[in-house]
Amino acid sequence: MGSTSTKIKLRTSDQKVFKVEEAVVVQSLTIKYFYENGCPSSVIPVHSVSSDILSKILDYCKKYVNFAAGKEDISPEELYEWDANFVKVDQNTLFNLILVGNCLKIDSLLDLTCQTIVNMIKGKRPEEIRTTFNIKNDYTPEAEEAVRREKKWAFDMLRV
Amino acid sequence: WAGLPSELVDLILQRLASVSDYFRFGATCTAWHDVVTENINYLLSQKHPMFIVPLNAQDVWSLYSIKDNKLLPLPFQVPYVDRFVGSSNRWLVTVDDDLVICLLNPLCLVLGKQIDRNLNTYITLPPLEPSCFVFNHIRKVVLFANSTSSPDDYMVMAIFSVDHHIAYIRPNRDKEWTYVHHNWGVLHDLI
Repeated sequence: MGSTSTKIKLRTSDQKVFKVEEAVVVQSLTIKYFYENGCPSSVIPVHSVSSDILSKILDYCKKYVNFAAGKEDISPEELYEWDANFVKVDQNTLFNLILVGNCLKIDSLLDLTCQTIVNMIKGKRPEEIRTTFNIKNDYTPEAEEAVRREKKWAFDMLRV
Repeated sequence: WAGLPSELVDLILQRLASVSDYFRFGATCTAWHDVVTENINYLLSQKHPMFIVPLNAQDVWSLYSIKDNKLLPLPFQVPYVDRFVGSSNRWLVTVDDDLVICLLNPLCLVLGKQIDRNLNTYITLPPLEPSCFVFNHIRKVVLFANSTSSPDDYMVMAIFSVDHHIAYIRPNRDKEWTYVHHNWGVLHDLI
C-alpha cells in the first residue's frame, strides 16, 4: 500500500489518542516537522489541543486532502460554502481554531479563521467589536476618550 | 479575545481594508491598540496610497484615501512652512527658509489640536549648515527605517544646494548633521 494508508498517532491535551492518515495530518506543518524529524511510530503529543478541537480540525484537513485528491464530489463553490459553515461556531471554538491553526501551522485554516474574524470586525464600532468577541474594555474612561478624540475622524467615517 | 497573541492580532489587522477600521479596531482594548500603533506606518505604507489635497482655507491640507475613495476628515495645517519637499515612509518633509527640515506624519495628528512636537507626529531637525549657500535648494530628503519602530536607527539623508551636498542625521542620536564630502559631481538621487 502507498504512504496514504500510513497512520500517525496524535495525543491531545485530554489524553485521547487519534489515529490519522499521514496525508491528513501533514497538512499541519508543525506536525509534519515532528513526524519527519522524530520517531514516526511513537505518539505525537499535541498538548495545546483538546480532542473536541482536534477532531474538528482533522475534519477540515480531511476535507481538503480529499478535495485535492479528487475524492470529494463537490465544486470549489461548494467547498467555499462548506468552509463558511465550518466556521459558524461559538466564539470560544473560533478562538481555539485560530490559536491551533497558528500553533500547528495549518495555513489554509489560519486564513479561513482570520478572514472570518475580519468579516466580523469590518465597519464596526469598538463597542460592537467588544460585544461580538466578549472583550473587556480595559481603557480608563480618560484614556478611551483620548483615543477616540485623537482618531475622531476614523469614527466619523462611519457616518460620512 | 483580548489575550489573542499579537502575531494573530497583526494577521487580522493586515486583512482589514480601510484606514478607519484600523483605528476603530485599536480602540477596542489596549492590547489591540498597541498592535495597531506598532504597525500603523507599515500598514499604511503598504496598502494605502493617499493624496495630499489642498482645502479651501489657506495652508490647510487633507488626505484623500484612494482605497476608501474618501477624503479623510483630517484637515491639517503646517506651521511656518515654506514648502513640501517630498515624502518618505509616510512622513511629509517640509523645509523653511532657514533650511530647517521638519517631518510631519499627518495620520497621527489630533484633529483640532495645535501640532505638537513629538516623535510620532512632528519632528524638527537641526538646520543644515552652512546656511550661507546662495541658493539653498533641498533636492531630496529620504527617511531610512521608521522613527516609531526603530527610533535609534532611523536616519534622514538629504541632497541639497546647487552643489548637491549630502548630509545625514540620526535624529535620536545626533545633535547635528554629518556632511559627506564627495567629488562625484552632480548627485541626482538617493535610495
